[in-house]
Amino acid sequence: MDWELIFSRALSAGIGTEAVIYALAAIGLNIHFGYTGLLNFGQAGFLAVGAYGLATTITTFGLPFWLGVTVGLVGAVLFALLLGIPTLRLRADYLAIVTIAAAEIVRLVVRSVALRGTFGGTDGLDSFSGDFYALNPYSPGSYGFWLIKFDHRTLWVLTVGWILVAAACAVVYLVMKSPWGRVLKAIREDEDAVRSLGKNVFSYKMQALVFGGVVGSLAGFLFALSRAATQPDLFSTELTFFAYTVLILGGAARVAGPVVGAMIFWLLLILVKTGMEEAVNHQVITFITVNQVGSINYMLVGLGLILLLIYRPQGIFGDKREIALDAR
Amino acid sequence: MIRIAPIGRALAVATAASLALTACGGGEETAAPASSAPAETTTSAAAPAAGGDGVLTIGALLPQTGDLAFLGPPEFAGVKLAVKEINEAGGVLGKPVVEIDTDSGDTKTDIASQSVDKLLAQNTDVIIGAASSGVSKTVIDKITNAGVVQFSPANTSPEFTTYPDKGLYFRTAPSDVLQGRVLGDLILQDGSDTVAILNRQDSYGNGLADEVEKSVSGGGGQIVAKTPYDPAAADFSADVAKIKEANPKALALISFNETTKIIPELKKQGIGPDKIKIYFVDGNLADYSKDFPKGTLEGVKGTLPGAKSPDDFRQKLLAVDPSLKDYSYAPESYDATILSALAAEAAGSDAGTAVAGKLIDVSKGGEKCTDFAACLALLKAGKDIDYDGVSGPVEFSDAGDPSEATIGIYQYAADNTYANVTYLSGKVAG
Amino acid sequence: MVFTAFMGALLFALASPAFADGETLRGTLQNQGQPVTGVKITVTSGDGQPVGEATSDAEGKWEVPVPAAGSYQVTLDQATLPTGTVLRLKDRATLTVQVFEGNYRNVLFALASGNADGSGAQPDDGSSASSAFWTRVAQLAFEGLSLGLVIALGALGISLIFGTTGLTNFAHGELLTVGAFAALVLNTTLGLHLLVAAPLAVLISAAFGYGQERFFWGPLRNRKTGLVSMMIISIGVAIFLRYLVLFLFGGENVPYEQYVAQDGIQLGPISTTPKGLIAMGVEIVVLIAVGLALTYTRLGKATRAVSDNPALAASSGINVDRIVRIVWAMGAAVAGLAGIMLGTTQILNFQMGQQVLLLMFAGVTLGGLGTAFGALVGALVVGMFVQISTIWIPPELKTVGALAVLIIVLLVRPQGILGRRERIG
Repeated sequence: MDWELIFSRALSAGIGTEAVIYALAAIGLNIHFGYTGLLNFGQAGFLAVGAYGLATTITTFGLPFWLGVTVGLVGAVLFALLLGIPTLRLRADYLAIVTIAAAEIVRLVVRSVALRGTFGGTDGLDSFSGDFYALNPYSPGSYGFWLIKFDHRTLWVLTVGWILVAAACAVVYLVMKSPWGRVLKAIREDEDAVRSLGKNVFSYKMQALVFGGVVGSLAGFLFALSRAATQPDLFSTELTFFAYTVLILGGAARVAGPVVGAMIFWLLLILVKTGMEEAVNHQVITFITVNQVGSINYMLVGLGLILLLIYRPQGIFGDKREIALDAR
Repeated sequence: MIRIAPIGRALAVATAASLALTACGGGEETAAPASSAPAETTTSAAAPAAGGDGVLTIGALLPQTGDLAFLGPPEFAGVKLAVKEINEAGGVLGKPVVEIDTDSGDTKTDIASQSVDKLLAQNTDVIIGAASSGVSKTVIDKITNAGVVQFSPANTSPEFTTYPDKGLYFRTAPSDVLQGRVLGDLILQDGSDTVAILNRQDSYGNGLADEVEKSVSGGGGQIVAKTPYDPAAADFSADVAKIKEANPKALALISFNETTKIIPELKKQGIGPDKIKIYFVDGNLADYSKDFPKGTLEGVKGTLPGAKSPDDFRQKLLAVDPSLKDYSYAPESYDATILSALAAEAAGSDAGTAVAGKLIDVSKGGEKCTDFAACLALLKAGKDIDYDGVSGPVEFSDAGDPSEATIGIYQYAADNTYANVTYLSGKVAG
Repeated sequence: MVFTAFMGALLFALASPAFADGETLRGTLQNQGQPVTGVKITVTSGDGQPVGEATSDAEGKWEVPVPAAGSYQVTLDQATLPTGTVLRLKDRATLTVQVFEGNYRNVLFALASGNADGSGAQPDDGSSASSAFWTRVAQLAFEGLSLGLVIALGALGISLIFGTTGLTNFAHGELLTVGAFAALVLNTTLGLHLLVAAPLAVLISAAFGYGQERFFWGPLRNRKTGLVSMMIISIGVAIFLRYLVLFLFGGENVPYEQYVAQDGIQLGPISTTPKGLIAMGVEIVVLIAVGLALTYTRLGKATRAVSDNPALAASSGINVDRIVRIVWAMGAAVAGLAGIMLGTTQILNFQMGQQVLLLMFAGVTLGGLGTAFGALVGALVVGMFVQISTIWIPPELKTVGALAVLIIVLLVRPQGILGRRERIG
């Protein structure tokens, strides 16, 4: 078995594009769920809006890259408003069902045959990343140290990605320390109490939804750019659930929780996946085929999510008293 | 091979890294790689990350799971057989060729992208795949930007002919311009004047549907319905109802594995293979003896690019994989692998860009040869070669498409297996 | 190896000449399956030079060799058509056809019965189009009912489980999948006929539901696990079960052994299959039985009492835990049945349950979360809406319509059709 490959892949995944994308997605969820107590099950929709806002602007309409980024961000804001108006007054479980439905609507619309000319149908869109990679300051080649190696393109995505993660963390840290952030946390703890203090709960929730959604759309940009292509089915409900696993693993309502959660999640996931693949390829494990490794991996994610919530709902860093798991 | 020691180190570093990130909330990760960059960049001057390490590494990105999983085994067998023969003849540039198998999944999953990452991390020079045009499209930018050759044995979408692929995309399967023309002609020959097309909505389905439409209406037939469907749909009753409403005499069913859902729906709504003429294409021309009761598909016709693979080629494939049931795209996969090896040999380098530079050259214009050992001998003697493969003469156009091809016409028998009726050859252009 | 390639080359060489013997335009003239003879076909080159002409023979065939690849105009002389036969499309007597190098090209003239003045060429086009439209509407309504019944079976369980325990179970779709695949194992591996396998699989589903409650959800509730926590746990369960099925059975579509690709039968404007009708019959019977049981039996009344107010029900002597377990067993059994029916009328796939989960939620929400009869009504409405909406919207967007309606309903009447106001609080 090629241990070097296994650890190199796992370590690279731990700081690689997947970790960055899920860190950003989970930071957005943290604002929704961790701080405000909104059970948003539609984070995949925000990523899709970001990714497709960017890709459609550039590929379909031939407009410049920065306009694409703007469209993606504005799209995320609009999506949050559309989503928030009917749902934010509802109870947690209704909110969960409606947000999951809204994210599916986004996915089904962008993959639809009827709008193929705009969104590219099931194949999605490509050839939109040229301008982004033209900004790449690294000269072509392979960069890295020890087992971790990235090519110049991945390195550029990672540079931008980690800067965005750091910026998002900094903003979340500052904002949650501010009076505004304290109101959000108060809403999570007792909505009626906040209302009785004369605060407009709906408006605060909406602001949180927009804020977290915009962070999610940043993850969408990186998702699309790192692949240089975007497909609708990348934004299925499983993406949201993985982001929840990441968030709960790291610890909700903690600034660094989603970041550490994403790194550990991807490190472990790829470690297990590549490890099992190698074991199967070298006949160490003989009772399963390589194709089945993927499904075992997903089963472990499901199992991990169950066990985390039962035995350590606060994750690695969280505080049990701060998790909005009993909200109704 | 490094064993136990690095694991300890790896874990230590991982812990350290995560601690560091915890401290600062993430974001400082890029400093370290950048500082160690200059030492690395000198080794790989112009050519990006991949290649140039002296060993030709061929990555197979072919379907083990998903909609096209039935095409996977023959394609893998074709690649494996070629690698075996190349290595028996002494390898490329004096070193054995390394083959890495990965799964391409389908467009519903992110498997292909992850597989490509894995292949690129292992210094792959040529990626053989993917089978589905849709999947190829999702990874083509990633592969070609890394300076690696993408060489598909089964992509037939006309889109790839004009795709900006930096000269790194090739295929041994003919563009659907030809298959569409042959299929359209076949439908007219069978005397159907009103024709419906039910196609997968992806670059494969749309491309082929457009070509069939062009061919049918150009020859006097009438397309009464052209319905693209969502490949992941839970049921197809509404799509089939649309077709039924148009009341066609023939239906071209351009699909993959969804065929197992669509055929029962067609039968249910009374436009099954027993009522109207139904035509399959390469994406769904498969053995359905386990899926449908006897007689379901009797009389259904279909087209599949590729000449008949000779019996002894089939025997050799069976030696590689005894469980093979059909041979679709095995010759194309075999030829793609052999051609890549020959181009690397001709270029004197295994780097992706170098291989791409020679691929068109070894496919045409020169002394003809038909197997790796003979071609290798000619190349070593300093001659220009023209490789003629199992799948056909394989003459690449400047866009990296085969310019001539053969399309087989097949027909289903009562046991839901297909057999060849005839082969048609033609030039793709025009 | 040399031989292989030689064989390949030989075959190729053999194959090509058969079609390279000259570019030819040809065709067969038929009217309703009968050959049409004596019709003159003229071929001219792209620039108007005559190339050749032919007359259809006794089998309706004609053939005109052309000198080279290129574009040709093929004209059918309408005057030579037998009386009573006309071109179906009057403007297509002359076709411009591309002939490719080394290949023949088939040309087709669509013929129909009618008078030369063209009046009979396309008889009563308008009325047949509108009747085809209404046939489609009827067909879609029928499909909608069929889908609605499956959704209703699933939604019933979701609704009852929510009512009695407060859990929004995201793993309910997987109960359909598990039931369907349990039947598949009995059917294909053990070789039981589907009619035997299906009831056994429903029993297995019931046991699976009972076990889940007894050993998993019940203990979790006793630990005072929060409802949101349990909702996310149910997502974990869903992912785990879905990929367990993928692991065990693979990702391909698999059919049962019996009743595959049945011939359709025609009921007025509706085409269906015998198995489809039987499946619907079974579903209706089960739904009515469950409805009656809920309304009239002691157990049913107890269930409704628990779902109204568990604390009050407990204090009036109802064993709440027992009721909840029975609800789980029953919910899983009807969900398993829905899965088997879906597998019979369509096909089995590891995602089959997940694909209808959101529709089930839509049905439940539409009817009002927690009310069993609301779930039934809501599910039927959703099923009908999804299918009938394809008249106006593309089929692949039909789920979008249902989900959009779900959101709009929550905006206008958040408690659903039969729900009560305080539940949404």
